Amino acid sequence: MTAVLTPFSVFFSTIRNVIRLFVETVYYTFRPPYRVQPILDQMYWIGVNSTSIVLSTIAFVGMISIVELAFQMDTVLHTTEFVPGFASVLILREFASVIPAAMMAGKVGAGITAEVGTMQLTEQIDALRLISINPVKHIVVPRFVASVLSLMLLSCLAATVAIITGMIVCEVSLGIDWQLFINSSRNFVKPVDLGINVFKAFIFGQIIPVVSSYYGFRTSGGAEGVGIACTKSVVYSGLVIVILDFFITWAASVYIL
Amino acid sequence: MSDAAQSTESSSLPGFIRGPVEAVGGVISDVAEGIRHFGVLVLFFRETVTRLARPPYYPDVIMYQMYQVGVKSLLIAILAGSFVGGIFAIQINDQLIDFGAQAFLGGIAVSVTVREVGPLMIALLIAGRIGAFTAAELGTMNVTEQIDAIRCLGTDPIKYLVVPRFLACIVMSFVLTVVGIVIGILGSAVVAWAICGVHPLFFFGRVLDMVHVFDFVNGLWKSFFFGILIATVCCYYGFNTRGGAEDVGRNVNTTVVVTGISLLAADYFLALISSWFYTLILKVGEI
Repeated sequence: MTAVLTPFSVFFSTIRNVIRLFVETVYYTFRPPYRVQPILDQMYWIGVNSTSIVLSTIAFVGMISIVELAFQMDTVLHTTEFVPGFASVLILREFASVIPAAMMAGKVGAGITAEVGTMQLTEQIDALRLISINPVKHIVVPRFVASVLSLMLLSCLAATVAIITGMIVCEVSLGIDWQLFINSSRNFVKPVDLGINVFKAFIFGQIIPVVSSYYGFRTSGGAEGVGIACTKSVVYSGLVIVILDFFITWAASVYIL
Repeated sequence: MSDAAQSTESSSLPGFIRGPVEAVGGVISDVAEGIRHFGVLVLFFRETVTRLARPPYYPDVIMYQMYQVGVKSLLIAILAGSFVGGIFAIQINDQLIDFGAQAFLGGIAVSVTVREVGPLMIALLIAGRIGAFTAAELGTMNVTEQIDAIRCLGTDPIKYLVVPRFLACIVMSFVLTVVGIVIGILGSAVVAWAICGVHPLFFFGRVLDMVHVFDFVNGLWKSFFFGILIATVCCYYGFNTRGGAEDVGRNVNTTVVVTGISLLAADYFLALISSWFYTLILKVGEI
């Protein structure tokens, strides 16, 4: 009986501990003293260093969504006239926040877990506690604020880049020029779509540092343990992003649209 | 151009010229490094493929790797698949409802899942779950000279370490993609019923008209290709780690980035090829 129940108790205690870490992080974020310099350093690390990878992946996503939607619209409506509108709405509501978040979970999340995990293994976190510095305030909060701000900015950039590459592919493969693209999109895209994009990025930006520092704090067992913790943090932050994305999409479709 | 390149060496230029020139030079050297990596990667891939058919085979190692890649990712694949299917059902429904075209919801959702979303989602999942782990594992073995030790004992390290991971990744990406597609379709059907109010009979009614057998072939062929890509890139970066423990971490990061970008780039070109093929097949069918 206990063998059956163990995975569940591990599951629920993990969820409880992650939520506790999240609440603690938010509490210490709004508590003085505020230190700006670590946040700026982390923003450089998290935001600026991931810009090129995020933008190059989202560029391909923009192109893929045009090609795929053109195919689907051609079979359903026998016209490719609405492809720009559909693609822009999908990019704004979905891809421009989820794909950057997934990439950041891979790059930044694994980086944070490796960093925090190494600190944990070399007992640096215990040392911080010993000199009465709160590890959450000192380590998690700057990464948290930086990740939220950079993902919100990156999602806007990503939407721009995806729509531009979509325009190029539309011109090349469907023969829809950019004026037509913009006019067609205007019938579909509403200002609230941009709001959804930024809101999703705001939520996903909070998940990545909290989940990855949680697994970093729990690292044990040498260099191999760091590798395992990194894998876990990448997989579970991706999973949490997908699940929350579903609920945000649902809420948006019921209450906003 | 050559003047500018020379004058950066003297470093007497004002900053506003030197900065951009150095930035362009940095980009050029990055691109050159990327091309070099690509060449060595192709050679590595050739080396692996030529060893596939040659004995000795290590069936136990291959089975263990398949367990690691496939069985341990199954639960996450099922969870992610159902939620992604649901997301796409809601998004497509929101767009179709303006046209009163909800009859097409099932067809489009199934078609998108089979052709694009299923294979890509599973590939990104495997890249995150297995790719980073493989690169870290092989990198650690390389840094601690375990690979040299294997070579000393007269065992071919590529045969023993890379080939099993390679095979496991390809086979399991195939299997997991089938699972992901089925679960994704079920997830979108359930969400369409519960949230969008489209009855399953209505949902699946038009599917057979809109989804072709070729779509399934297309999705599975993609998953096969993605499996090769992930396995090659991850084993390559793990195998070529030099230095210490820090380089292992850096290489893992590079692996995640490179697999992510190359998966999406490959997906774009595969989508282009498949849509081209599809029109060809339709034309042949009409004749």
